[in-house]
Amino acid sequence: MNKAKVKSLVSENIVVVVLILLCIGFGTASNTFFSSRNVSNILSQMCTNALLASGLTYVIILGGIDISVGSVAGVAGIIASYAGLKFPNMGAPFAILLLVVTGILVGAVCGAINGVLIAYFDVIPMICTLSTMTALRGVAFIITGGQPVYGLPDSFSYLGAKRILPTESMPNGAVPVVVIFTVIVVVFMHVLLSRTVFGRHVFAVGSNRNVAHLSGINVRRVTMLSHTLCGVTAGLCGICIASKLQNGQPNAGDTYEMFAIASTVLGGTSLSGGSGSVARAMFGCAVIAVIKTGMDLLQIYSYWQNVVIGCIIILAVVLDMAQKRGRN
Amino acid sequence: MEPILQVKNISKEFPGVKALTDVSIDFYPGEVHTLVGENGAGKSTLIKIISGVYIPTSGQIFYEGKEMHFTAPGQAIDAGIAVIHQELSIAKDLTVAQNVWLGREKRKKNGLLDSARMNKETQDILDFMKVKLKATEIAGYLNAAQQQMIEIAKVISQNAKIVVMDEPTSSLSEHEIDALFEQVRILKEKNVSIIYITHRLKELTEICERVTVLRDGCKVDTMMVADVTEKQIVSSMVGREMGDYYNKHKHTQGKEMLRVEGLCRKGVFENISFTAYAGEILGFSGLVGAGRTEVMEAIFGAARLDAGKIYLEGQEVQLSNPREAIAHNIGFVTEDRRRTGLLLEKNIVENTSLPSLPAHKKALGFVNRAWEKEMANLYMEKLRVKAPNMYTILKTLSGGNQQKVILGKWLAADSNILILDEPTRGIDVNARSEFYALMNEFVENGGTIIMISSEMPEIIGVADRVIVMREGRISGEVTAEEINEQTLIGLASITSDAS
Repeated sequence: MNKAKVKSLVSENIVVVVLILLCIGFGTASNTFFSSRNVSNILSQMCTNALLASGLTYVIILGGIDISVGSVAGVAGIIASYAGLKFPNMGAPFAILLLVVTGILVGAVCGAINGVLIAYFDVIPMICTLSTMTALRGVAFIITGGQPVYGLPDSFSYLGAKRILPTESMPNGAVPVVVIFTVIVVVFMHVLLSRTVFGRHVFAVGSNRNVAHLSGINVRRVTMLSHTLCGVTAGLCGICIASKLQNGQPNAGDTYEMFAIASTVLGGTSLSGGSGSVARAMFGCAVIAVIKTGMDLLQIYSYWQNVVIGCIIILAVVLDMAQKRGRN
Repeated sequence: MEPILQVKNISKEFPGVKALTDVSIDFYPGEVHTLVGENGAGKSTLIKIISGVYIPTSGQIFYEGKEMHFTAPGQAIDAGIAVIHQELSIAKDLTVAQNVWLGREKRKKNGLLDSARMNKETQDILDFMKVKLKATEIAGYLNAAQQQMIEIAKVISQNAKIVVMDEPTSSLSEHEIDALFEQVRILKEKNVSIIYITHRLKELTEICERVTVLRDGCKVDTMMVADVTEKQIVSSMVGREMGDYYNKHKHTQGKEMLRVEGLCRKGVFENISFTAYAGEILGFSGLVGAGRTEVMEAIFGAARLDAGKIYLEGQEVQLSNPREAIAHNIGFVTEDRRRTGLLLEKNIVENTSLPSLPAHKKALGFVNRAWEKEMANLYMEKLRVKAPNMYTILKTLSGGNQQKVILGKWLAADSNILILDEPTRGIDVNARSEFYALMNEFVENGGTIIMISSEMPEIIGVADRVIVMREGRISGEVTAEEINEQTLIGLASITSDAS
């Protein structure tokens, strides 16, 4: 392998390099960073963000954005909680089914609203989802009257809070159920994007809408479906939060969109569209999760964490644009 | 009389192309000097050099007797050379006055905009031009002709001594053209030197003093308009040696493939009827803007049709989007491959398979990756695409190879009717020759090609039959033996006998 190849390999996988460096950094600064408890924590905290990022990858590849995902998650969590109240004696499998179905339905409806507005009414994605973000957050507060939805059975929290496969150091289980669930969703989203005709069409529309249209692709339908998918993953994120908390919070998922967008962009999905990958976005999620827990371990004030995350997003976007310019 | 502007022995080379060779022209104040020539003759390159957009490879420019070295358009404007482009540069949300002073806004002593003064001075210019426009009107509400008046007002406000007008009449009606010529005469009275580009030869006798004919980047001659006829100008525009790299084949016309009747889109084209047969290359000739591309886009379902019928092999079809056209085995190689032809950031495989992926998908909608690799491989070999491998990103390929990939993409989609819009634009001679051979092979296997080309020699060298369009209508059809430049240019540009 020559120098140029190494260089391009590093620059293409910069997020992996950053992740390794961060782990080494935090690992030396804090002796509990690599403990199995902490690793398991990082993984379960990653999940909500990973779900959002897996759907966001689609709309960002299209050259769009969805900043309403946090609000969609909030609404989905509340509706799932109200649904859960109706079945006080449900078992864990039924609870999981109830949560997942509600998450998919609520998410699909919200995502489809964005999709219709963006694909068929040509509303700019940023403005459209900014509006739905505000409106859906309002809906969450109206439904609940501003109060959390309490009184859910324990089975409701199986998906979000339960761990399985106990070990000696972690008698309550080493693997959080939510991690398994997230892995299933993320793998599905990754395969859909990278291996199917629909996924290929997403890339084509994001690369050049005109070419896609003239190659017989239904650009509006692809846009509409991508936003619906993004809504579905946001809905699934919302039910995971509600399940973990065992209640429905009207402000759940607030500001999550920023972390999800940051993860996606860190994972190399270009904000100008056309390229990206769900798998790589997961590395972006890992970077964000490592930074957050690392800063927690080092007892860095949480307000500073927001400043750091904000700066990281800017850095990622500047690097992306610089790379684009270099290529042209 | 001293010339105000002299270009002397100007040459301009681009990588692989010599756009201008040793061109010398004198321009005089108070005169309209027209540049004529076919597309690619070097007119645009010359005006870009005069206006400072391009720097000549060699040669000199003398302006008011002094040698000038423009390195940016701003310098030419400051010196008094203004250009009115074919595509008007009007900010639609601003007022007439704001457009006139755009970038040169007048200020008061306190640094704020002096709108009152700009409005007044603009109004004075408009009144001087005898144009019924208000300085405070929003430009976007005005029609093309009125917007052009803004450009002229701008030129007057700049006190330009030389005004370049690039096909100013191409989007105007007869009546509006008269109004424009009135302004040209006013500019002439102000002793402005006007460099005028047009394809409409009959305009020459109305406003021009001198005409320079360019051909293949060389100056053929400068003549006084009063001394020559349209026919003489046409014959000096043509008469080039035609290389045999077209490798013209005589094809045998097969069955009827595509027939259109009375196609119409209001204000763009009307009453378009023609038939294309299997085993022929049907050329579409005409000037840029004659409506050829728009007709083809409409047939391909990519643009609206107001009226008309489309028949494929005798059956009437509705093609309301490109998907349906592709399903009927029509392929469309667009004029601008970077903007509408290719996914530049994607590789050869992804580009080749794009239109035909849905037809070859596997269960559950999975991409048939073995099939698409096979296709990419097949057409890379068949079309001799020069690339390191099939995962090469398209934008790293040369224009000729990019064009071959586009052709491959439509062949992989089993197209039997190919619409090629300016297929060899920006491609070097060797790649062209290869491309023509591939076109011949395609029709000899029973395919139909409809080729739009603005280059006369290409149309003559390749097409079996030529339809000429002018101003949105078919102005004539020419078959095998009669295809020559005089006939085609006549049908495309001489409007005198028609009006």
